[in-house]
Amino acid sequence: MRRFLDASTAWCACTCTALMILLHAPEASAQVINFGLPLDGIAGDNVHVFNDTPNATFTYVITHSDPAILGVSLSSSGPWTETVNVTVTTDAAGNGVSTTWFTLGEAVGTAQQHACRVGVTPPCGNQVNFTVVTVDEVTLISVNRPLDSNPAVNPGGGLRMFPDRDHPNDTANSVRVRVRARLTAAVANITVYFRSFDVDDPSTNDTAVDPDGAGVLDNRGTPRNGLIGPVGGSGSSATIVLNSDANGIAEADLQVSRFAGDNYRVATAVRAAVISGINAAGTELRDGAGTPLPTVRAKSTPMLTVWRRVHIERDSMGPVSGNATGGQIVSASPGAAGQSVVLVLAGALTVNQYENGILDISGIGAFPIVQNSVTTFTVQGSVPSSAAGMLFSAVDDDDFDGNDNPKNGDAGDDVVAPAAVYSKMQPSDLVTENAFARAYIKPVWDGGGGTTSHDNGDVGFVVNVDTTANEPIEAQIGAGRGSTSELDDFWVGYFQDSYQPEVGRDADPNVEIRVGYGVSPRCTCADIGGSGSVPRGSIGSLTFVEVLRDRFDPLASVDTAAHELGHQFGLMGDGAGNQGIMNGQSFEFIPAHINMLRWRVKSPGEQ
Amino acid sequence: MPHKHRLGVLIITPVLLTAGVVTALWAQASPTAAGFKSLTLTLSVPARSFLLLEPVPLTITLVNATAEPVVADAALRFADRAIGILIQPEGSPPYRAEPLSTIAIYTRPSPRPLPPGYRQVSTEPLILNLQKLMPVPGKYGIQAVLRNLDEEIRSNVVSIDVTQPAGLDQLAYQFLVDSGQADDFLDGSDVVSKPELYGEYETFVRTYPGTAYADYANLFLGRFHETRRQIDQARRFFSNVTARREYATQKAAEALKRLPAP
Repeated sequence: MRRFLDASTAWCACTCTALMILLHAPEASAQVINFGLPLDGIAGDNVHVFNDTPNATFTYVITHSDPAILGVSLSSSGPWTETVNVTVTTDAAGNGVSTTWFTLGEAVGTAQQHACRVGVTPPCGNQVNFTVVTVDEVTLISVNRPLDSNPAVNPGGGLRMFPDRDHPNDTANSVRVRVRARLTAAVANITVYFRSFDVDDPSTNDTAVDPDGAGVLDNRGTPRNGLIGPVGGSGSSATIVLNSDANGIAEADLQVSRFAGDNYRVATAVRAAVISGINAAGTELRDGAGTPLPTVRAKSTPMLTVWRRVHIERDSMGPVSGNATGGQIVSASPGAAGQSVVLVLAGALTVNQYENGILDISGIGAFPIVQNSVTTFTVQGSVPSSAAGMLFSAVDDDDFDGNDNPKNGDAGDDVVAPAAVYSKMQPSDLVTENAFARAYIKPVWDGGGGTTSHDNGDVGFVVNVDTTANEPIEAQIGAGRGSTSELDDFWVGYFQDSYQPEVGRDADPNVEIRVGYGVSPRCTCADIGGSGSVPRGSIGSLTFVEVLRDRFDPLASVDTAAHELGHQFGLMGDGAGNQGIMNGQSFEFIPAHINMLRWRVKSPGEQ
Repeated sequence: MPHKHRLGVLIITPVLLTAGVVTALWAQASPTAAGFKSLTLTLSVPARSFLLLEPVPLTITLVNATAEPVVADAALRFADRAIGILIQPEGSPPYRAEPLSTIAIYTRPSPRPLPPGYRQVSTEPLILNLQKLMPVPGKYGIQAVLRNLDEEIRSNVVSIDVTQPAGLDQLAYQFLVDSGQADDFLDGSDVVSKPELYGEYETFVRTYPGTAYADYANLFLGRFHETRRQIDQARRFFSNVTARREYATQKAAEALKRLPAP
């Protein structure tokens, strides 16, 4: 009886693999036996004698071909030598069994072992070909989600995975990744141990994001180490023990969390004692002696990092219309310095709303507007008194796309925000193009539906959206939004390129105190949040293209959309101090906000 | 009770007056200070008591009473987040009311010269998180703070009496508490993405008509329909707002005025 003995560990008190071999058989029936042995594994064996000389004692010499590969001993604890002798005493029928000897796999490779009676030169009887194996490599293989290189926006390297849906109706399991361990030789039934680990968050040791700093238990998902199970299964812990197949391969499935930035490694080994000694240190795994993996005895997958996608629906208002006022001229009189003052009968004008605009008097001509009161326009040029009674129209200096000559209040121009407005939330892995990359989130510009775009470029035009209350903003969003399928594993952000907020915030006149570059309604938002306490956020955002043009702001002109998406994710900002992109101090999120993004479970605006 | 931002200077006196303007509870800026701190910030509230969970209209006035222009970021709207509101229960430390608005507008401090005589007035309700801010009946001091870059000025302190509702108000109040929505129900809800919430508002205004709380719920429903051009329904809800709650009453009246004639 040949037995493979595995020194007991916490993993398995005694793993024994039985293999019947008759070492001392008639020469005619001598066999070559192939036997796989884990590196550091021990096999026990005996010589069985049948129908030989009754009541006799024979001595067998156990030898092998490569002392670097195998060692033998009469004790399972060694010492290990090149040869040992065992004896067999037969009974009255000529049958007997030797004492047990043990064979240790000392190094990876192949060696032949024989048990020959004293005086017989090998080969003799059965030949056992020992193949001593260890894990040669362990790799991560895509199951339903592709794996690619983890971008360098944060350190750590390794691979990236998006454990979320491609589209709302996607039912494929998105959180599994296959772990394939390949042995150094194609040997079946070798026990392979898998163990998954939470490794350190390499993005930062700032405790606002990574509470344990350089420590390793910082994943947000539970269990932190992930779950590892059989192929197609979920697993119930961070470990599993499997047997290799005939190709020397064993596979398991790792189940990751959906928290952006969670990261994992899986270690494999063929010995329980080895796997139990492995620990995470930084982003590495190390064996019981502190040696970073890979070692001869254990291998590690690359670090696997969870990223999330946020699918973007971007609508825009249709062509500009009605961005003018009109009425009848009451009188016209000379003003100062070549100017004229035109008294009009029209709806109440907002003081200086039309500065730098054009007053077009029917049948007389167009005049640049210097300023206006609630009832008069002061224009450059001489307006004849005969203008009294004439109809007029007035436009302000709105020209969001810079193509009006003469100024016409953007009449007929289709509302589309300059690409720069969205330049910090591109589908990019560069933080300069995607402020969310530091939080392991990547926008996807697919119309918010995955495979079905909901982008609508013809939402009814509104000159001034009232942002003094939530309801008008929500209604404007509701007028365009088509993406309604939001799930914990299918995040959607919503934008609508709009024209201007209400008069008073629309930068007409230029001296308005506070203008609005973008707005997100009913922003249940905060600046601090964590497990279970990430605010709902806003359901969507409007960007105001004419204000962005009129009150050119070097920050807002490029970060407004990303800023507003931050509100949809529940980030507040907008206050004093340095709140990064959430109050225009920089183009990046501050650590407290990154922490909230990484704790996010629900789709933006959902709770 | 939240104790979010404890103030450094605090004097509690027994002279808090119901809905009156109380001066110097908190330290005011030095009258000799120049620039932004020479502006005058005033806070006033309606001269009456308020029910638990009833929104409190805060009228904030900024005046340049000096003889010189003062460069300042005169952003008084709550959504601009330059205004802070401090609440002080009688006999307890003050704390900051946050957030004041759920409208997140991307704007930038924009200091401008405010000429002598400049005056700006803004009225908005303290409407969020009232269950936390003023959780029990009693007297509460309220002060406004205007931030301008790294400076701030403070208003006078006003005091209000918060009382236990009675009758139908009490039932409406209890509904809000029991519903778990007391902190934001009267500010309106995200009916766009959660249409089922609409029915809660309709039921509320039908069940508790004429209450202080229903006035704000009617105001929300009126705005909701107005923004969808559902004029008849908007008019109906705006018309249901009583004349007893200054802010809601005024906003409803303004809305009825701008709605197209039936």
